[in-house]
Amino acid sequence: MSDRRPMRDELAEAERRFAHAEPPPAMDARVAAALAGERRPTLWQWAWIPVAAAVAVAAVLILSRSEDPCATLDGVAGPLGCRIEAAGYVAHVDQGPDARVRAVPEGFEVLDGIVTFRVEHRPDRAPLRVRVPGGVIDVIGTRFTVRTADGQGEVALHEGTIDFTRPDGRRVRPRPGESIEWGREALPTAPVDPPIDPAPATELPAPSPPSAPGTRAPSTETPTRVAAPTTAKRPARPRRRAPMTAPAPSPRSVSPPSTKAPSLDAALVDAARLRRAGQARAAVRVLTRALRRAPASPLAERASLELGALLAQELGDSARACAHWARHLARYPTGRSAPTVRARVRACP
Amino acid sequence: MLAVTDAQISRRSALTPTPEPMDVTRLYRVHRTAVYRLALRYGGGDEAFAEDVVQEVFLRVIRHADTLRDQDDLAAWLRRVATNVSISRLRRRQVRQRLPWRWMWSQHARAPRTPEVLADARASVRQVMAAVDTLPAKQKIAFCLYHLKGRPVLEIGQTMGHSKGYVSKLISRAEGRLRRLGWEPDA
Repeated sequence: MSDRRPMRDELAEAERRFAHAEPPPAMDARVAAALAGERRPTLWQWAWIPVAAAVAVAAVLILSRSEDPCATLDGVAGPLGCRIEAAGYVAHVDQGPDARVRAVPEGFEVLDGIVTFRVEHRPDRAPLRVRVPGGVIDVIGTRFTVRTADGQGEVALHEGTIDFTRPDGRRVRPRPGESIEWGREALPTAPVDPPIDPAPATELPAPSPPSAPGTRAPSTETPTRVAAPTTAKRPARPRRRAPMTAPAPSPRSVSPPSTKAPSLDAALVDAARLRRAGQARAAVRVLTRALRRAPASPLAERASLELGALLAQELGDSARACAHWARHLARYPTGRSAPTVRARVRACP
Repeated sequence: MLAVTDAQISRRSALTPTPEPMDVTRLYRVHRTAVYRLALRYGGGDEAFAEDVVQEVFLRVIRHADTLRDQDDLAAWLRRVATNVSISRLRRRQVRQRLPWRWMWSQHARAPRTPEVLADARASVRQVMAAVDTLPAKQKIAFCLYHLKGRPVLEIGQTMGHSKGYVSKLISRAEGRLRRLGWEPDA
């Protein structure tokens, strides 16, 4: 038997009271006053609509501005990335989709992600400084890419000169095409669909000798200068690195891309190698062909981004770059790179 | 042929009375008690709640005077408006009673107030109405119309603007909730 209390009698009694309740006289006076003060609807009653519309437009503008990666650096979007004046330099900062960069008094600080800097040489000024988790980069006038995540990372010098100062004060000056790592060995990699064939690594030439006396072999504990690691050092480990982390051979020793259509991942590795070797047109061809063959690959968006960066930065072909950014945005309107590319499209003529 | 002759137009004009301006004062006199009692049920006997609902309902009458020409349907329209206004007010009241809001606005929990209409009722009646007051707004409205006012589910659906099935579900949920509180609505 249920131990619940029946409520029927109570409900009936409450209903009797409600059904015979009379409105208090004070209610009539109150309602009469309210009805007397009520006006018929006027146009002013709809004044909130334009106000709400204005607020909505402002919100959209603010949100779209916050989406602009250049806005956080107080820069202007351009074909080469954000054009920013910092510490007396004009720098073009090209941020990857998830990059986090902030301006500091002496230059920039890269907190996370992939960022490419292009800075014109100014002999009359102190070097622009870029802080990274593994040290400080003094920029003499150059183009280089920083890639960092979780305290690990690398700086890859494409051209010009930089000085990399480690936390313990040791200073390294890489040559163009070289990269310097810090943190542990494993760098964040992009997801890859097929298992990556280590073949591209075997195509690479033998390592060049260290570019400066005293350069040490790669280590997982300390910042490491990587000239061109041999495949013999890691024979059993498949290369799952993003293109930027690929070894950087000298321009003379770059092997041409395979005539067989490569996978998108291998194409990215090839393109990065060619880009470092100064063969940007070949890199564009490799990426274009690979994208045509595997447009639905998970790496396609990244490859497309890389292709646009090559067109804009390496070839300086703004028209092709702008057309490519527009196609990229149409194909990946909600992709991770969409905010960055949208800013570039807006900067196009 | 869809053409309408002048004679047809004049005959229609003669049959259709010219709408007269709505006398809100007269409407108020006629319907105020019914609306007040309905709101009193929804508010669990809270007179202030019922007065607020009556005032808002007749303010809406003024605002919609141009479209309220069908006098036969006015009572049903007033019931619907009173129900919608009550649901909104009950929801606002329930939100205000939630702890985070009280903390944000530095409001302390008020002791439950005995509704005036039930002030001299048996303690068990007040307990029952306090339990009904804990129901979500729509469940409370459906429960009150069904168990207090004794209206059929179909009519409740017309008043609330919901299907018969949804109203049955609301009533069933309300009953289940009250059972969990130790009351048996059907006994």
